Amino acid sequence: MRIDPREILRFIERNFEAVRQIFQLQKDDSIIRFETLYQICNTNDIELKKFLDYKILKRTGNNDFQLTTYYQYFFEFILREFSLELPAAIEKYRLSITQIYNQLIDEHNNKNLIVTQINNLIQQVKEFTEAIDNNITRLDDDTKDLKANIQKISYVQKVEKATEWIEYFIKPMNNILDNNHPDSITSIIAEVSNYANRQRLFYPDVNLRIQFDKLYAHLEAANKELLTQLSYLVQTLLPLIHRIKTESQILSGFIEFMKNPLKHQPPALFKITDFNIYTRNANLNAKEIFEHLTSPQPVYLDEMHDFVLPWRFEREEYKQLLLKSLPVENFCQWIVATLNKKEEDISWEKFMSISTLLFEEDVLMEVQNGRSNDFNITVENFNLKVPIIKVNYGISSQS
Amino acid sequence: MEYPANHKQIVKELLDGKFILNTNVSLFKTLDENIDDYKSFFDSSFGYELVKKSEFFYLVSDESNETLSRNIIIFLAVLCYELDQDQKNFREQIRYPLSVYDIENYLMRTNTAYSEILREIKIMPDVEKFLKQLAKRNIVEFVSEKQIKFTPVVELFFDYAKELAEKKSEDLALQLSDNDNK
Repeated sequence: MRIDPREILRFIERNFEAVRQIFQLQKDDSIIRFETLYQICNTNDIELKKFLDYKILKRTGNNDFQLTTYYQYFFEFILREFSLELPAAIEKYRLSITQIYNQLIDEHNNKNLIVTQINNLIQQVKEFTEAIDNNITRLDDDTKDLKANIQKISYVQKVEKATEWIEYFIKPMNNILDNNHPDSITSIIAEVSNYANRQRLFYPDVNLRIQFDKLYAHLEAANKELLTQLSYLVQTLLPLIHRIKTESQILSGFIEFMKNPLKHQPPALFKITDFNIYTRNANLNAKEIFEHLTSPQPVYLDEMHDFVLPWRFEREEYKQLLLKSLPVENFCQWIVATLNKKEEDISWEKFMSISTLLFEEDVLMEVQNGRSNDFNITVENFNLKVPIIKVNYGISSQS
Repeated sequence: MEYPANHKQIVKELLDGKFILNTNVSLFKTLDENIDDYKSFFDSSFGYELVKKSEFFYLVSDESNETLSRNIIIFLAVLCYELDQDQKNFREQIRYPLSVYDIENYLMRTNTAYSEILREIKIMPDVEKFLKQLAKRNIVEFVSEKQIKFTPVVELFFDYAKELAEKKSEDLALQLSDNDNK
């Protein structure tokens, strides 16, 4: 007996909370355990048999239950709880659309068959666009939940989730929707659309021309919708997921750093150095000078003296003077006389320096021994008794 | 030897630890056009490396200012974390003007552990002083007296954090595979 559809809808409305629970069970586990369903029915005072009569549920082999596909889609749609279909599952439409299209091209006689093929094509393209729409809606909702972190997952998990969506859903869906990609299904739809466009204008049978026109209009609308979906996928959803991924990566890196800031080597940042071409410590020296200047000390000024060049022993000059004076009977007396002649005072330095001439090879010295032979001279207020030394030409000067 | 007209300014800014941004068109263009010469100049004159990124130039020395670099990461980590908790896209948000007052509020509401670190490294309570330090290096820009925005230099620290996260997940993967092999 055929059941009045309004009765089914009223049943669903009356027991909507129980239906929602059943839908969630199916979504989480793919089946509904008998015990659980029994409990739900008891709590909500529902006759379990009604679910089977209305074909909302069906039995599985091991006495558990499942939502029938149509009701599952219906509840997914009204609850906006689409399950994410793997693009591989959407790929099936490539085969179905291609096969029907090829049959349509080859069929020229059976008009009823052509009409059926056209309707089937429309149905397949509709299912395909809806599958894409559902997937994108679900991805969009999930992405927003991920951004808001509804499930309170860690940043590392967020990165994993975003990477997974990009890799397993968005990239393959992009390939399916991108006309220029070899895996594209939209390119097949575009080809069918071109064919339908030609047939709606030139097909000999006017009724079939109308059918082709219907197919063309549907495919054009589908193309536009798919283009919009592609653009949303590429321009909005993909950047949003990428952004969540990158931001989560950055934050998980920051959190890792914060666990122990001293453990990690931070990025190199230029260390400013004070440059000074004289010395690295010039600024310290300058500081010292300024500090010194800020605490003044008494300063004493001395009279200015004439600058006197220090005496320098001109050995050759004195040697020549000695050689000209040879033979010299008393060398020390000669020193005193020579310095007096040059108006020099007699210092230790001068006396000792000139004395070294005795060791020149050009001269020969002979010391007069005996106390009576001592000679007195005054050097820097000291009276000295020095021996009398005779100096004559030496070996080298004689030769 | 002929030097570009703005050579002195380029050298001064870089040696002052500043990042030269592409918004400073004249300096950026001169550096960009003479990149090899300037790389060689800084290397042979001071032993420094001149680094070019798409939006800025900067110098790197063997001796690094680690304290400042570490403080910047801590500051960014807390600020970005709090912006994210506030449902903001922090990476975009900090490139727009932010008031010093808002930044202070974000830092103040963070958890105790982070807050203690911020006080220990003296970013808090005087956040403005720290921001002025960053402005001297062109890491942030004061758009008004009490409003700043981060320059593209901030990406340097984001890249660092990303690398740290990648390294961490690689280490974890390696650890897991080692455990599996045992």
